[in-house]
Amino acid sequence: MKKEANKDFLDDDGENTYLIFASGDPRPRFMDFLEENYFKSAPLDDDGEYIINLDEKTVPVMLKEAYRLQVFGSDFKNYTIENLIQFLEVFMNSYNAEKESEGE
Amino acid sequence: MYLSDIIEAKNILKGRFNIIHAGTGFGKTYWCSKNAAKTLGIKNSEIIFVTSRTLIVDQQNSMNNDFLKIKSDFDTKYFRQWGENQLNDIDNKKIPIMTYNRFFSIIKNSYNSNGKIFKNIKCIILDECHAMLVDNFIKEMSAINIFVKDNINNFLFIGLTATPEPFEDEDNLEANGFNINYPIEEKLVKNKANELMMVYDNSLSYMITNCFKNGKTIIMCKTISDCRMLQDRIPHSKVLCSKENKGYDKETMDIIRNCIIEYKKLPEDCHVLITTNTSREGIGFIEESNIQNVVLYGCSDIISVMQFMGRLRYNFDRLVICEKNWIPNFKKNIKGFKAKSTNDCKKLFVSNSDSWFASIMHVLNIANIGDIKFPKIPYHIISFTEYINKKWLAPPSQAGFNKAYIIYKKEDRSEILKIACTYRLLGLPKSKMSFNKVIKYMRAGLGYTVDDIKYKTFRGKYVRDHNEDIRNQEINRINNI
Repeated sequence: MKKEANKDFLDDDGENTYLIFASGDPRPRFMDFLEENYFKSAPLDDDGEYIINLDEKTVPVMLKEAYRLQVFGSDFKNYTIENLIQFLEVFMNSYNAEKESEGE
Repeated sequence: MYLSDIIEAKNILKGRFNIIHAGTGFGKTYWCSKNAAKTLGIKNSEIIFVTSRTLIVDQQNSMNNDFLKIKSDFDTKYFRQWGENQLNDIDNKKIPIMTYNRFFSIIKNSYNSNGKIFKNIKCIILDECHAMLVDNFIKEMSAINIFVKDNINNFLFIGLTATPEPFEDEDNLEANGFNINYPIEEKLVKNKANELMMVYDNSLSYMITNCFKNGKTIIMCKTISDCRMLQDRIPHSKVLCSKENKGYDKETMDIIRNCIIEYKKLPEDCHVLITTNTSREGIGFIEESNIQNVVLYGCSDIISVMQFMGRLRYNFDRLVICEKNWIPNFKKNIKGFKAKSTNDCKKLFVSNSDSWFASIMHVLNIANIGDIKFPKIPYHIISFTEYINKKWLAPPSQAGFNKAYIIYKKEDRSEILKIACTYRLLGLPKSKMSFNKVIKYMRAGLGYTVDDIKYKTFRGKYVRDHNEDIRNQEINRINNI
């Protein structure tokens, strides 16, 4: 997901944006987990944006929590780094900094 | 306790129609495939296994090496064996499996050619045998019933069902003359619903989306058009019907069907499955499927209820009965309610015979009528949630997600506020209404989770470490959870 596309999601009058989930949907809880444990404490880069490192330390913890909450269903095979990245892109408004720099 | 442990050959009688009365999870099919021949002292190839759904044939054929699907009416190898020749050693070890339709077809063709029918067959097992009396849509069932009665002394007939009631129904002429024997006296039931809920037709979508917090939902309807109508009302739901139905959509339904056959689960992105009575029998879902809600829509007869909830091999949260117009009468007449088939369900609802509730009590974890739940949802809530569910509810899979679901424009907020005012959602005058109040009510009163900060606060970017070992490590770690 490119940076420009992300800006589309931002509200221009300072009010919040919203996403509605059905009762019992595990994804908001996983989003809370990511927010609490990674995004809140994420360091800022030169552009003033947060950096979340997906590495051998963070990925297993994230996937373990995702699996506990059954974010990607009950099939263990779905708990891959690709699905995690897709989740971050779709629901946490993140984008791959490396991909972007490759593009540039 | 499994069927294989308790069934004894001496209780299975020739000249009688032997009905094994057991719910799901007692190993009826396992006994047939692994132990029936041994118990009866015959070879596997001397048994025919007849079942009511092609889905069951495919599921058993794919999962169980002991069965061999009869692919056509003139499967010559078997015809020879049923006529004169012997099978080879490999085929001798397998039990031919077919649907009632094919079984009828073979009977008919054999009669036409004056051939002696099923010469080398000693036992015919009729799976889901209640279908012989209730599946009127299979035109040939009457002929099969006659075949069984006429040949009761020529073969050992065994019927398998969780619902033998139609055979005991004195009003059903087809049920006469079967000369029933129950090899096992005890009623074997394993899985139960923890709750019974009666839901108004127009509340069903709201209940499923906003109130059933745990697990997936399966719904059975009478017709494919009912399925489609519900699909329009229940967000992100999927439909499955019989392969023979002209409404069968190969592209979407093959995925669901294959997942059920292979994994005994629904596909990950299918949280609500709406199906016809093609799924009433035979197929089974394991506990990992996480189906917790079983809904009968417009088919609350006992056979449908018992059979459809029997698809789950474990205790589950709730059984939901949803009828179109007459539920308001249900509560006051419940003692007199006994439905024997879908068609006469409504008529029997007001009769004074045995109660419908008493007939299904043994599959519920509730003790009396007072424990049945009758949720009443006000019209304005139903209307508002239908609008939200259709337009704004995030789809269950990431793949189906797009920007259109995000409420981030002024006009989005205005539209939601306007609809809330139209339906008088909060009972307040327009001047007192605000978008924030609507969101607050959606969270506190309507059961939605409304996420409101992620797109504002966390415009993060991530850096992926390209260490190739990560993937293996993450899989190993999760494996050890």
